[in-house]
Amino acid sequence: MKRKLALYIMFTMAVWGGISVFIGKQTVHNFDNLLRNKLLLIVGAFAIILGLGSLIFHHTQKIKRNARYWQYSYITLGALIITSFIGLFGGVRGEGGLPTFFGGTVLGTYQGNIYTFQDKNELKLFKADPSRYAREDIALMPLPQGVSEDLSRYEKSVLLREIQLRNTSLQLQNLEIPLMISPVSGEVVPFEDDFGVSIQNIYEGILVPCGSTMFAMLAFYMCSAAYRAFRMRNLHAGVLLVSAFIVMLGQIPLITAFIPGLHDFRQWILDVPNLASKRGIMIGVGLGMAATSFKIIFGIERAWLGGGEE
Amino acid sequence: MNIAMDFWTWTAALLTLAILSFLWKDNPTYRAAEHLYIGVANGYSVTLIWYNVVVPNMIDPIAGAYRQVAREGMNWSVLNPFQEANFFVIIPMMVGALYITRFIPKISWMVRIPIGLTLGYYTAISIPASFEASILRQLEASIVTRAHMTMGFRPALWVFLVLIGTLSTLIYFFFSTEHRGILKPISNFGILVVMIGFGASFGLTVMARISLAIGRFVFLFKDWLGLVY
Amino acid sequence: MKRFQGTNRNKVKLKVQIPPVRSVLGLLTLLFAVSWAQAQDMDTLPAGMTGSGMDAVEVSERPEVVLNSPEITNVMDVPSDDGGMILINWKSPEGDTKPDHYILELKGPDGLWQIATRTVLTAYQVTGLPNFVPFSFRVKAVYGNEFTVSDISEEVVAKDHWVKLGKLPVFIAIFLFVVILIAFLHAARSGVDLFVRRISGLTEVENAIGRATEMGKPVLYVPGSSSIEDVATLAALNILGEVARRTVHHDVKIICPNRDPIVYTIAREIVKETYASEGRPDAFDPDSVFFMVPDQFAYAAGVDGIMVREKPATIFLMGMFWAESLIMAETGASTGAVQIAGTDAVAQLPFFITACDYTLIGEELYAASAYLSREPLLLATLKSQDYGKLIFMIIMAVFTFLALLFGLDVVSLIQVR
Repeated sequence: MKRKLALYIMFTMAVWGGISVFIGKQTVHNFDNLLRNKLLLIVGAFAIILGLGSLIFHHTQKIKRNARYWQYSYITLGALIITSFIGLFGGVRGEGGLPTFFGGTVLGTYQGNIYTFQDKNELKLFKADPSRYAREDIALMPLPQGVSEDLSRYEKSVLLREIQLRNTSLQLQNLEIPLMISPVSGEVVPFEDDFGVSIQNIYEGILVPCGSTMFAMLAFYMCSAAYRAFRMRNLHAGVLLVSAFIVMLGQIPLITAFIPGLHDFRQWILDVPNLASKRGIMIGVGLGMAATSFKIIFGIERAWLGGGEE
Repeated sequence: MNIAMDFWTWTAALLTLAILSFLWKDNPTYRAAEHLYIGVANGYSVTLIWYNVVVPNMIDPIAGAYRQVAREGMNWSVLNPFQEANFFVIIPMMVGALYITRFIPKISWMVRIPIGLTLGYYTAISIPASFEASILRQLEASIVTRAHMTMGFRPALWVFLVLIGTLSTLIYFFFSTEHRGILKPISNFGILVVMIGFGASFGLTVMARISLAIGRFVFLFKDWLGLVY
Repeated sequence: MKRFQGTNRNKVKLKVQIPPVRSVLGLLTLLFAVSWAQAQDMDTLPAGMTGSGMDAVEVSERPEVVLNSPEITNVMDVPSDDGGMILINWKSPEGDTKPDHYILELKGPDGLWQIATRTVLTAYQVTGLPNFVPFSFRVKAVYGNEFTVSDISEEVVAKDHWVKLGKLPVFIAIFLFVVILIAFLHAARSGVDLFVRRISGLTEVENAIGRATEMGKPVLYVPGSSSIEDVATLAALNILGEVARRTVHHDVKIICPNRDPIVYTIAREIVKETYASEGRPDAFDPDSVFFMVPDQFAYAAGVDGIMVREKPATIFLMGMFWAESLIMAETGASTGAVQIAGTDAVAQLPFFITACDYTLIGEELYAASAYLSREPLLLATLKSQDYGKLIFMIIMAVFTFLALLFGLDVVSLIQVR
């Protein structure tokens, strides 16, 4: 009975999902949108609790059992706790109560230029000499012989974040955000954002470099994969490799200039065999998807119900 | 040389090196970077789910509805799920909370309810989508018509060849009969077409990946070490 | 696995008299040649006519003529759609001078005329309108710097309808598929043996897990890095059940790291269920299926870590993958494990093919769980997938014949709007 209940629920949802596609009525459409973009999102959000539970169990278990490399589990658990703490209490855009920006006394020792954000639409910076102003006056000071500069993309993003962080109800024309060249990084940063541990800093300082390095490693892996294909010495791998080389070389102008017809041949490969194979695979995949979906909806495949009570 | 002195630039650079070291072999720096990466990524997604799903879809509607009731007294509109502030979201929250029953052995079977709900819906909507996008649209594009024949000799021949290639690919993947007789050369031709197609995908991706790797080294040499301007 | 092998292999099979290769090639060449020649014939006449017509316009001076206005012939709500669309047809103005183009304008409740489109055609479907709000239309015919205006049309409202008729081909295709599926399910229930040819890659699953037993090393199963919204993930989860069954038999440890929490929940239930149904519920290690991280590359980094540290004897990479496919597959290959991959992500398949020992291409992934389990009902779904494909192949070929030889507009029959 307990398994049947889940099956019935699954089937009901499937009937709704399958039929709503063919109905044009806006009310149906609106409800479907609500279901997909809100209700199921809410239901799914709870699954992360199970996920985190599993993650924590996995690592505490490792530590408990003194499994190989158990020490590293402390890093994962620590990073998880610290990042969640900073994120949840500091806020995604600094709206939380936790102070995630440190610094603010930098001005005293700072030698250089202060940038003041003047006009949102123009996004111009004005250089000023900071040594002449006390800190509190910065926002109110008239600009001395302002030398305007175009903002770089990074500076713009910093500025916009700063605007979001502060009160957005302020009139931007009257808002002057003190920025400075960070004495440590040499980059333009908002005045107080000299050293931040906001979730944004963590994202940019840890997640982005790690992710893009993993991504960049693909360049090396592609070479070794090509070598592996070369060593396989069978017809299929050979055809794959030759076609890959033609497509790759055919997009380098320096090479196509020397080999007449290479560019056209590359285009032919893309337009004819490539298209044919992708089409054939797509049609087969479409049917495979349908078969797999029906398998689950009709209850033929019901391993997802798990073991245990009937 | 103008080496960066910023804490986060150093963090990023050291993590980049630690992960790159995996190309040589597994080592303590990679292990540390990997474990840190996993922990931080989880913490980050907790934050994102909280601020992008929990706050706007659960806390805000309920708090808003509560304020509305306090202001105007009870009325039915607070149960309308289409309204910004409503109590209706409590229902999916309760269903979602059933996931947690997995930790309670006696009622752990209830975890099947949210799973069934999600599974049923997403499985079903994929059926018309795959029939439309993967099958009918491809079918429509494969059929050779007289309009194709007026495009000139070569394009017409190529369209014809695409159709034959598609059919041979499909025959290669036909499971209900052995590849015997005429099916053997056709399916051999089919798999060759498939391999040429895969080669094309491979070749198209190489350049993009190399530019990513260059991007990483630019970060190391320019932003971190300040060797290149 | 043994149940269906050898016994009735030829029972359900295509019984086609197979013609020799050269006759097929000859037939194809003939078809191409005939339709090509036909198309050239058709082409010459209209092309010549338009050519002379254009010359005439160029040489003759435009005479002083009265410019007539276009006339709106039909304004209607598009039937059987999901609302927001109105179809307008108009007649080009009478007289010899034809306008350069038309401007279709619409007026809503705010009383302001807005341009809906500029077109050279005499029909247009306005989209994105609010439902049940009256709109009226007028058409301007533009001649160089001058223009004429049609009368203002009656007010029309766009409506949403219950049935989206434009999706009819999809509905029919699904219906057809379900009929085939039910027929095969019925056949499977009544004990007909369903023949499926050998699929290389899947025949290796048994050996690959056996190898893990001999080496005393675990099996790593990666169920893709997508969520439950991808059907490939469901296929991967179904295969996970079959792989887990074999690991129970061989008494091998299975490691299954997950990227999506919902997929993790289902994967765990599946493995647990498999242990229970194989009579070894106590052997299920709750830590064997675990959630790793929702970040794509962090997941790849973690899986790489498992590959080099646990040194699994066999690695399965099944389901939906993106760029991380090669990161995992190459690392796995460098550890010397036997790798069996399967995905329908066309862009990632070349990498799996080069780095893995066996690769399930596209629909083979969907066929896998049925093939491995040899359950009659599951095989029935595999057969319906296969015969659906056969039908679409026939449609493709027959429609091409009809379109080429008789010039029929068969494409519109399967067009989805």
